[in-house]
Amino acid sequence: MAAAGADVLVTKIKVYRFDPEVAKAAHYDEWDLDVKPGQTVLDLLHEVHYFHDPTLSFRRSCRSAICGSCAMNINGRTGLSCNTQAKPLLDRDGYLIVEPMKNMPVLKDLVADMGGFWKAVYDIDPYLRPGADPPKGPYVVPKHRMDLLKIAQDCIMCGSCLSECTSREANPEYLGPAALAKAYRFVADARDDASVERLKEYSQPNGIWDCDTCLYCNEVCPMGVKPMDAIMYMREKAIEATRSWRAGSSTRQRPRTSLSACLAWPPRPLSSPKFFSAGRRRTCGKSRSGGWRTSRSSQRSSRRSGRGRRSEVRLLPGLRRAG
Amino acid sequence: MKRHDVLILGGGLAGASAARVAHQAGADVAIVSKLSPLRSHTVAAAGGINAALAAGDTWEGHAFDTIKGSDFLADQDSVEILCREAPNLIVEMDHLGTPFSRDESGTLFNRPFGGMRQARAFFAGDRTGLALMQTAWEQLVKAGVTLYEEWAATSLIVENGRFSGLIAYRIADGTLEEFQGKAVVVCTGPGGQMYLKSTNAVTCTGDGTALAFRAGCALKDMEFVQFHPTSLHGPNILITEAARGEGGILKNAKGERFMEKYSPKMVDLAPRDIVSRSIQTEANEGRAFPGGYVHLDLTHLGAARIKERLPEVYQFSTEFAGVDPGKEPIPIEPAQHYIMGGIATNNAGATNVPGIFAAGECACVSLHGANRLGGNALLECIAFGKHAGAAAAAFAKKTAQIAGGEQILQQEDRRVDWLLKTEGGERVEALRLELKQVMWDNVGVFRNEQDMAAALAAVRALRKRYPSIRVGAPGKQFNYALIEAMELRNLLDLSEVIVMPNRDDPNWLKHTLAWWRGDRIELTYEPVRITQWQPQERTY
Ligand SMILES: Cc1cc2nc3c(=O)[nH]c(=O)nc-3n(C[C@H](O)[C@H](O)[C@H](O)COP(=O)(O)OP(=O)(O)OC[C@H]3O[C@@H](n4cnc5c(N)ncnc54)[C@H](O)[C@@H]3O)c2cc1C
Ligand code: SF4
Ligand code: SF4
Ligand code: FES
Repeated sequence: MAAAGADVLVTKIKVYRFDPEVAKAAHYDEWDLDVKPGQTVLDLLHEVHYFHDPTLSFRRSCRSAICGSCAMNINGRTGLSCNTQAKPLLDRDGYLIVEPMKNMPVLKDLVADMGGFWKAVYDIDPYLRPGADPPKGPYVVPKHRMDLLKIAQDCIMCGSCLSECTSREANPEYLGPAALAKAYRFVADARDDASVERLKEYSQPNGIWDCDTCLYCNEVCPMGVKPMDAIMYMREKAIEATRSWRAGSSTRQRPRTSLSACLAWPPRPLSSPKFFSAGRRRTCGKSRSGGWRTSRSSQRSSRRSGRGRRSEVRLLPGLRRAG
Repeated sequence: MKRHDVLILGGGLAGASAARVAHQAGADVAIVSKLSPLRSHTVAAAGGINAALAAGDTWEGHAFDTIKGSDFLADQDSVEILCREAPNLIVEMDHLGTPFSRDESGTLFNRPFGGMRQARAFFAGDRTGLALMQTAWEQLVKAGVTLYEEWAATSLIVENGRFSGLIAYRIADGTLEEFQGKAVVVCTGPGGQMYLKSTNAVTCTGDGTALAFRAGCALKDMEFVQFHPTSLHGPNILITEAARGEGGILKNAKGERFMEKYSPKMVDLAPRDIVSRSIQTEANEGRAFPGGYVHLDLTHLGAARIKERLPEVYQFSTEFAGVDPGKEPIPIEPAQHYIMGGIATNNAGATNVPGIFAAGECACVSLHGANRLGGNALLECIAFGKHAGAAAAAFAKKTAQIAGGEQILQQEDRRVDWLLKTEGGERVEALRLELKQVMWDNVGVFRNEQDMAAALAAVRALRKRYPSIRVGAPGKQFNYALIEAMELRNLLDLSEVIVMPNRDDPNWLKHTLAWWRGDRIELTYEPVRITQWQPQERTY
């Protein structure tokens, strides 16, 4: 917080400008501003918009990191402008450059077209598909079971993760981290009765198997959502589901791979150091470049410790009904 | 021109609830919203939603607390509806997918909230509003309700005393269009941006309230504005009441637990108005820290518990104030938080203009009287959003569409054109800042006759200056400067109603109704409806 009379830093803020009504090409504008400790990047943009150039456009609403309006690229990394303190950034980098999110077309200045982002979220059926007869009272779901949702339930749909997603960059059809985190939120919800169908659906091309496991989504999310962990969890559950379908048929087949060996349930945070030895990003002993989709069928990993554990026909532990 | 049976103005929790029900009733429904629904300010609601759902709790208990909290100025029949329906609404939201926090046996958790004698606020972490909004939005997607996102309504059309449609401005490309409809539910939410210190979002400018007011709807009890005692000193980001529910203690600069003095029984958990006034009194009498703030101490809870039960408080304190609440107390000050008054409606959400309905924070049923208790606003959005949606759909079914918005469209078109071109000397933001300062200084935590008169004169002077504003941005696409100019007009109109001197003793236990008469505002009164709880002195 700004203590009265604390040091004031005059600095330049460089902002990406694009106005299709005026010119086809984008450019950058610069303003000299006083940056006081405690000021956020959004405060600075407001200052420009209110007192220097009212034509500067950017979305914002809550100014408290909860509405998801104000995500943008700040010094090369996507995040919310309303919870990014300006001064520490200036102290670290010596400059301040604000640009719109990546992986989305720019509409005007810092306003990105989030149509593709929302479409992906719509595509995963983002609503609970409960069983036929709900209980009279609330569903009885124990805390630890509900806690599974924690790595996804606070998503504010800001788009930061999609902006940084390497798979999306390579494949614009990829659903992307936020949509898949939302998908997970229902797969992991004990009240949802459609997890098997969901997993089948999300296993289609452009779904859970298309993630590059680059971890950027986990890193940039301002809400502590862990889309990549959510995706890994769904991969494991999808494999378990395949196995149980096979187990039901006459010719017993071995599971094609065993992710259970490295993915505990509830899922261990993949971003924890356990998974990444000495700075190299490795997931379950597989190199990032291999990618999951291509190598899935060929993988005969020695880690089969989880194989013997036959999963229930219902993917997720059943829930008790109240009342 | 676009046409739907029922138009829902605003996609917050109230709007989404209204839309869901109207859609279920078979009406062709469309939501017109300035923001994408998930960006609505409902997502900022933190602490919880009230219901007498726990074993041993009764709806009467909830109703009495609400009525007492309202200073006996809420309509008791309306409060009864709210509190009777509350438990089922929580169950309904759980069935639709809201991840309410629960214990290991699977029972929903609840926590105590200010002014409630019993713990009855249900929550989802401390992001209850976000969780409820997500669920409400998910149901809209499921139902396939038509959504016009980033369209800001600029006026409601009333032909021969009946609603016929509205005009909205599309932020993405500057299109101004008429939306015809048989009924509208105005759900545009809060409008606290006329105060210097406010927990409301920048976009909370009371648009729908002002639109309905100018279209002939009465506004009820607009003088009742709530100040939340615990906003972060500086950015005024809300530190939820749940922080005190979980055991947070208020201390002045001398380290005294001053609430013991003002509210011996409920101490730190006294209702918001009492705590806000107590903090302001401490500040006025020189016992606050320089800058007028006091401390909210959570250190005895320990970092782990704070992170578990109050993750948002932890995040806000560290990100916006650089304070680790597990180690140091949080600097807090009162800020405008909620406007109890709003578009006057009956229990079905209907206003005095046929076809115009309202619900949520922009409406006044009245459920909160002079003071809203925490956790009742989200509940109101769902309960009365649903009533209004159902009533609007029923109204649409039995009425025919009336045409005739052409003239208003042209008028609005000229106004937008003027705003884009006008070269006045007043900067929109400068005017807005002046307004915020006037309101904060004169009709803030304390109101008195003299300051109100000063505020009224100042607000009227500001309204006179509005025609000489300058937007300074001519573009059609994402011209937020233009939107801010339109918002300022709404804030100015509402501010005048808020500062009107309107209470004297004979009018105790009455509602104030304000009417727009073009060049002036007229006030009338109607009695508060009392059912089974007789007014008593309000001590805590
Ligand atoms: C910080 C904070 C914390 C809170 N915590 C709690 C709590 O713990 N418990 C509780 O019960 N209550 C709480 N409240 C109060 C409660 O959140 C609000 O009263 C409630 O969410 C309002 O919902 P709404 O649907 O009426 O409005 P909103 O959610 O604000 O929705 C308004 C909608 O109207 C749209 N809109 C606005 N203007 C226009 C226009 N011109 N044209 C078209 N659309 C427009 C917006 O886009 C938005 O979609 C809190 C409030 C705040 C500010
Ligand atoms: S981990 Fe996967 S989803 Fe996340 S950013 Fe990388 S590629 Fe995208
Ligand atoms: S997962 Fe995080 S970064 Fe991605 S949209 Fe949600 S809140 Fe934003
Ligand atoms: S303004 Fe709402 S998240 Fe930044």
